[in-house]
Amino acid sequence: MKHLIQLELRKVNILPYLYSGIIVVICMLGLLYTFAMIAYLGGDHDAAQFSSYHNIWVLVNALQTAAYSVLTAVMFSTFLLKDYSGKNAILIYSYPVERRKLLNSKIALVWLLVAFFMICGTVIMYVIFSLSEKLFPLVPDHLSAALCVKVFSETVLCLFLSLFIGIISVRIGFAKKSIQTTIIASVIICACTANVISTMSYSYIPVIVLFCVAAFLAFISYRGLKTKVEIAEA
Amino acid sequence: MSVETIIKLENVVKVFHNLEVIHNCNMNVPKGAIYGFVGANGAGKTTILKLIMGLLNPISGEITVMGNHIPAERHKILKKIGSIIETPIFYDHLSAEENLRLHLEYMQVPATIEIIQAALHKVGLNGVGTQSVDRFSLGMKQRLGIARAIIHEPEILLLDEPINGLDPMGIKEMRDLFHSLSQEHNMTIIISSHILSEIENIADLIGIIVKGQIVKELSLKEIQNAFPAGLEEYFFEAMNGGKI
Repeated sequence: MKHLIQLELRKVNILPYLYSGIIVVICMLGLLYTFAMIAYLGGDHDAAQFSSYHNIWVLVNALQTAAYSVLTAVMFSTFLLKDYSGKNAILIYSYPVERRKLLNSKIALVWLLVAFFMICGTVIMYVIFSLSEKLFPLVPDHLSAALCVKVFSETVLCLFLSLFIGIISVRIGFAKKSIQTTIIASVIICACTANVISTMSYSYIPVIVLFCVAAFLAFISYRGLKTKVEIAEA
Repeated sequence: MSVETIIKLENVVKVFHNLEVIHNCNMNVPKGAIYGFVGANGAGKTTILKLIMGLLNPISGEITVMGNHIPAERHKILKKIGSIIETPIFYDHLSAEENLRLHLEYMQVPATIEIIQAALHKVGLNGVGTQSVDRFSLGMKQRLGIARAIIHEPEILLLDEPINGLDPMGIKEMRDLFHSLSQEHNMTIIISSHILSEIENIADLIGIIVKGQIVKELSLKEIQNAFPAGLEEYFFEAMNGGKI
């Protein structure tokens, strides 16, 4: 499996996705400071929502989930849809490798890359934001180890949601072998889920329900993909 | 002494969108033969090659390759098959050497630079191994496709229009290469082409496919004995439903 993932990694040019990951971090950092500035400049009413670090990070995580879900869908389109469509399928199916293993290696690679981008991105944002808040505080709140644990736990939850949305989207796109369908599906799903994620400021129950539903749908989608790939003709 | 049949199709039927494209097809390819596969456009040549590789599933009939039932046991034979089906596809941003290295690793064969360079040398691509494939011409891609098909030393070579895009020198070089692979490595080669003169120069066994059915399998010598003008005359006789 590890060898197959390495082969997949060599086959595609990951630089565009790395740049996309960097752009996402820059945009999220911009939003993070925008929210912090609202807390700093806004009136009592405006600032209430943004007056705690946790609330700001919840919003950033909701937006990150949307961004990385779309990125996951785009990566699946390249790694999976392109390889299993048209003449590429002849090449991929002519290797003496179990089709299921090949599919798993592609999914694992996309998940690992997105996990890397999202975790590293969050660490970078957290470090920059924490340092700047130590020097020039914008938010009337205090940074703590508990906040750090909370933020990263929620980021991991959002990471899994992104990965689940990615696999659900590619399953939808795989039916038509369409990259556009995959990406549009991910955007629509994100639009539906981002609001639920933002309720983490008040309660975890909606997000946990969303997580369970997304995990179940992702599992069904994976099973569907596996069946499709195993019986596919080139 | 009987010659071992390495590829056998018995009453194979394949349907696409309710259209029977392969119709009760029978085929016998002896080990070590160069089997020339000729037929009109859309006759089913590529479909049969795909069926042999297990890339398509037949509706009925039996396909055995080296004693393995296809498609159920395709994973056992894919390592022993080299192929060019339709236009060869590459990872264009990678170099020729990297493409071949990837192929060897997928084929679970040690990927050394010596093996890669030897394959490139065989197809006349010396000195361009480090160039990225997106800078290759059609003919160079075709040569690279042939290199990829032979690099893991398969027992069976399936070549679908392998001389497409090659110049006359390239066609001769590839013809010599296929002859040497057959003679020196006892490789079984199935080669489909529209260019009858080329098939006549390469193959020792001919299969004529008409509307999804192999209507005749016979040696080139038999054809030349019956039709002094050669394969072309025989082929048109077959296509026009004449006595063959």
